Amino acid sequence: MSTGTTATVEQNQVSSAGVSLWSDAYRRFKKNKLGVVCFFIICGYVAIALLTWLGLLGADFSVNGPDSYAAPSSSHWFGTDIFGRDVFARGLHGTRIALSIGLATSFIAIPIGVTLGAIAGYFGGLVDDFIVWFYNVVESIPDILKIIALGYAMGRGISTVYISIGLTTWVSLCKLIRTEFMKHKRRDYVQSAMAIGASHKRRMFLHILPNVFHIILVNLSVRFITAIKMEVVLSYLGLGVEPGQPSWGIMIDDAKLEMARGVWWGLTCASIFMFFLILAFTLFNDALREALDPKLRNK
Amino acid sequence: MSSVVEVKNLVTSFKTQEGTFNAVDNVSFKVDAGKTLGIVGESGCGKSVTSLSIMGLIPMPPGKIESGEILFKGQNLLKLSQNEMRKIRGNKIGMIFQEPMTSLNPVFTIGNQIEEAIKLHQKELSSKQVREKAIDMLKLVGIPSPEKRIDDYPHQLSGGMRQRVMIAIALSCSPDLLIADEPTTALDVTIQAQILDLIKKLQRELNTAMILITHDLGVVAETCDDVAVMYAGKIVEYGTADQIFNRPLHPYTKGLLNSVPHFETGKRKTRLETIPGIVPSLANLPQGCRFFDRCTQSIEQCKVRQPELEKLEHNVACYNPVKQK
Amino acid sequence: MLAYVARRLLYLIPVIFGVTILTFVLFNVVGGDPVYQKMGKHGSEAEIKILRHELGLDRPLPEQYLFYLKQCVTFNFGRSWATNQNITDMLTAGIGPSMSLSIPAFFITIVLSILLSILIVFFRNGLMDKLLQVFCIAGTCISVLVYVILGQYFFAYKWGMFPISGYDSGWDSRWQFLALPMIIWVAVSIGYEVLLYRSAILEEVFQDYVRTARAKGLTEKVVLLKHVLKNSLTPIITSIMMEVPLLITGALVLEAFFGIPGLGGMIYQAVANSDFPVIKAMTFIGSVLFVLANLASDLLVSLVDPRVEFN
Repeated sequence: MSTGTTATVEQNQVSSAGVSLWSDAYRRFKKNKLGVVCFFIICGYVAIALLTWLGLLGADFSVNGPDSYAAPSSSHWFGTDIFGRDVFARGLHGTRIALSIGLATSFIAIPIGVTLGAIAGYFGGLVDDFIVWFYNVVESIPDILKIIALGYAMGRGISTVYISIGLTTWVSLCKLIRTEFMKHKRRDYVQSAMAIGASHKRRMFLHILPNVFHIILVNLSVRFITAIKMEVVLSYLGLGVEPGQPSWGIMIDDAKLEMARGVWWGLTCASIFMFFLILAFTLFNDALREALDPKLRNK
Repeated sequence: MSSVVEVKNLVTSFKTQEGTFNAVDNVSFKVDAGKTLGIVGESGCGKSVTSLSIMGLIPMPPGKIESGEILFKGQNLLKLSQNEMRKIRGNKIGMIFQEPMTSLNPVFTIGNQIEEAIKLHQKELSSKQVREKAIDMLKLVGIPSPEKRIDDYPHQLSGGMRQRVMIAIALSCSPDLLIADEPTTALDVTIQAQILDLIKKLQRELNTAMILITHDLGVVAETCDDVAVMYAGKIVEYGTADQIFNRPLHPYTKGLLNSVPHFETGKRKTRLETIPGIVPSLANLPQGCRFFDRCTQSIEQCKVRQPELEKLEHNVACYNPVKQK
Repeated sequence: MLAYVARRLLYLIPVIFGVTILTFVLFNVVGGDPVYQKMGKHGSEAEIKILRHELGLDRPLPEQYLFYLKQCVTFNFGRSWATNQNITDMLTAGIGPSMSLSIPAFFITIVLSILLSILIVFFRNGLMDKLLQVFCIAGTCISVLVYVILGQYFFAYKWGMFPISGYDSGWDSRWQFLALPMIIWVAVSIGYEVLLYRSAILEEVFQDYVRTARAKGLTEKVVLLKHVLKNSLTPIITSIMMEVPLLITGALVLEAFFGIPGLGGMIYQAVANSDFPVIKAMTFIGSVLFVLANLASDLLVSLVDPRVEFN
């Protein structure tokens, strides 16, 4: 059937310049309505994060009010917290913190994972053995314990969250990149680059990297999901951002005492914000993978 | 003699992102017991979809059999329930697929996979008899020391051996009809001839009707009694092997024949001919003849209306058939 | 095969060795000063000195490392800073409650997930498939902590169906305390698992050998349960085995929240009290379990997939 021929054509495109791969993926992605909607939802969250950062939105998030634990009303959509602060404004600010955690951990984990994976997969031999040993070691310590350890090393605070999650979650990406580099370095186009005398660095980053970039992209959106969920658990453990900060994790953690008093709005507000962001990332990620994965493309 | 299988005006459609199109469009043919029909065409012309339609294995959705009849020993397969169809599949109709490397389940032994088919359709056999039968089948398809090989996993066998196992599975219940979908395409040239001879030999012994799907005219010439040439979902020429090879009427058939080297003719041809252009996309078919763009002898009419299969010397769908010298 | 296992077990040595170095570096070198953590800001110069000596922190780092290594090898992790209990005793006491919660919950989750994912694939593209997928995805978008808080609030606090928290070590009486955490465990993980298994199975459904199986006249049930399932077991086994260490180290949030005296709860307490020796011991044990689970997973996969070769 005709699908067979298109598959081979696309395979070729993957291993050549990769330009048509991207326009092709873009075309596919556009067709996925749900994916596009989710993309715009994420953009909405980014806008909220920027506006709160600039102080244009929810500026009263840290202003103490007269009513402690006021129920939701038209002036306070999600009521107020123990200090009478507007919960909805805090939820808006939580977006900023959640996205910053996703972004910062990616900035730390992706370079580590990609560099180590690329070096291991490309050079092989002893270097590979060493890097594999290293990530085996890092991987075998349970994530939460690594984060706890790093948390201790740096003390509580948002930068600790960035660094501890960032330094612990690069292994899966590193493995993927390593396998891809091992596959690609034997492909014709890399061999021919070698024949015309391209340096190792050039071959690795100019020739192979663009062809594995889709893996990094997919990994990026998964990373946001993991990081945002992790922040909540860290808050519970007392290793998250400082207690006064308006993060969703802190809001949910506070709720464990609030619920018994019938104060449900803090939990609800943070959960709703978090739910839709993670949902958007999950579905966006699925759409992205479908658009980019050569194996999934023919289905 | 009545036909084992007779396909009448079969239309099978597929729904894709670009819209719904007919992968098989108004196709009719028949095969008698002990005879072989070759269906020839380029990839994407609908020959595999035709065979999967007979087997009832069209994935639905996106596929759909829109209309037509598939009469198997007088019974319309399209009217059968899933349950009734299952009793025919693998039992009365066997099928060999193109990719021997991936068509066997990698995590079960070949014995398990042959026995499974036998057990399913010959419930009266004891498990010992089933195993013996499986070993007999392996012997029949020429696998050396079958008693040992039966417990091998597919990855322990070569491509040719795997295709022999596929043939053993397809023939294990002595089907009335065997569908071979490009059975030799994925194999080495030396193995191709062996497998083809084997299929031919077994078919003769079992007096099975066979549909052989291929794009390789050499294979057709060696094995087939009748030939149907398909182009873009339609049969464009249909006749005996002798008629098709020696007196082709459709310009496409002629083109196909010219693009195959002839060694037996004695005189050396200077150059192999090719058919210019590519097969039109099924999603975007021309109004007139589907071969129009690539045809060397098209006339005005070809552009406007689609020619239907007509009986001249034999059946052909062309307004300006090739003149015989 | 035996040679392979032996070689893999040998490879454990450098990995575990690496783990001890990494743990040591994290806690003893870059980690905050444990004395400061322990005494707060109030300790006097002299008190701090005494404590440092007591904890062996005034010795040179290599010596401290060798001491830690010895602890790991002999499985004798010393005493907790917070409670002064023998850590090995704490571990043995905690394993029971942890596994009483984790093992039943884990098996219920796996069995339900496999059944549901097969069901989804069987009815693929239908309404049932869509609905279950929506539920599963939605389920993964909610934080564990929200499940725990809401579960406790409604099932225990409001409706009184289960005790709010606590534990009883009696073999029969522990289940009333474990039931709710188990339900929450299953609820938290099932969505994720079903989605994972579903894609593992769907990956196989379009393979050529499935068409061959159908061409034999097999029913869709046999095709899925025999041919497809066995092929999709590899990723399923791998993901299941990766969770095995958690069965023993326990569910941190659940145990802490419901006051179950398991190892997860122990970690929570240790984190709250800056109890480094306990965390270090758990880190070591967690990684040994992880490495063993990894090996077990590779061996299991080789049982299912004859193509896997040992080299």
